[in-house]
Amino acid sequence: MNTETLNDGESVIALYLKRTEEGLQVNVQTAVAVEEFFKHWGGAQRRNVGTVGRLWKSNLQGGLLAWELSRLDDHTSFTLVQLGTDITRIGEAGPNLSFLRLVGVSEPGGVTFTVDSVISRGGLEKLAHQLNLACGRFYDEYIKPAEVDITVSVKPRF
Amino acid sequence: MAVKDRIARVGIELEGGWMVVPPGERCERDGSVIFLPEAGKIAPINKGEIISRPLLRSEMRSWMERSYPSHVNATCGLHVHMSFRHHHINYMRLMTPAYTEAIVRGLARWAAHESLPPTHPLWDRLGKRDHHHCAHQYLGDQQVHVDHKDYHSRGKPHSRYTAINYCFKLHKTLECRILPMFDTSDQAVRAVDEVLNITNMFLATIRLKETRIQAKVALRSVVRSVYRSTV
Repeated sequence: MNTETLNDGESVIALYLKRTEEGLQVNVQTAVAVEEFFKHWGGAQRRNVGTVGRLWKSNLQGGLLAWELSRLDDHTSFTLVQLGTDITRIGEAGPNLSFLRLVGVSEPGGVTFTVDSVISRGGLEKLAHQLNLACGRFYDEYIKPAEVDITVSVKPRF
Repeated sequence: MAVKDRIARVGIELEGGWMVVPPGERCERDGSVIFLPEAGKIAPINKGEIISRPLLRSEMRSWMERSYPSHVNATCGLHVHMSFRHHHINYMRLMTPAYTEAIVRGLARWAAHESLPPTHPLWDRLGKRDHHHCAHQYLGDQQVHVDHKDYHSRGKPHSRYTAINYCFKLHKTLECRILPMFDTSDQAVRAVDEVLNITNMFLATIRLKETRIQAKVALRSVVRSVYRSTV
């Protein structure tokens, strides 16, 4: 398993969004822990994104690959199961964070792909804010380390 | 200075009535097109709309002249679909309420230049901000996600009955719905030309550098929970 040491305040998930001639360009970069999380829960199985949804385009040789997600229930305030679909639309399932499952997001430079969709400038700012909040919830829920200290003591007898 | 033409293809919807449908075209039913019986006038046999294939700008005039209806009235619209060179980025730059305002302002100037009479339906469409068929309202961010024609969308956040309908998911085009049909095909061609010119001018005047927007989640301290009990 790959490991890395991050200091408080360093980015665990970073998204860069830009409107381009082909659509909305998305660059995703994450800490190793995020990719390891999906790799573990998908049994290290990969899936071609194009077999699920066709709106994400990339110049990567062999196309975009994502870690399978067979043993994890979808969250209620964001979705991880809508690979290749339009991330500019916040549907009933909440913001689409499926891009966190992409193979290679923890490599230097992360993964870049373009969504075949359009969005206004104001809409993009709103989207970035919503994705940011949802990524934060994902991190808190699944990645952030937690320590539990349980102490049961016996009352002294007098 | 000539303005760069950023429009790749144009699609035209002509609403009206035809005694004979032009060869190679199909008249589709459109409930909004109404011809009431008028004394001394023969009602058209075919009512509805004829839709062009995606046309080059140079093909537009001949198609419109050949397909133009013999009967038009104020219930008939002339809808213009556009696709663009560098399609996505130009489309997104038009996703602003300022574009609707530019179209309304520009067409009002053009209508005055054409000396359209005060009773011409274009004035009504330009003057009424809440026009039934083409409200001057920007709903682009919702409209782009609609994948079907919703004829009952009035009053909804994705209503298609706006001056500019951003029907990206449905047709990948942007539709200007504000023009009515004109008495002659020649004037209709000039009106469509004006919509395309205003659009090109609007895109030319945008001095907007696309910036990269960041969203970052920072590492947070470990959550430590302490539970103590005494038995």
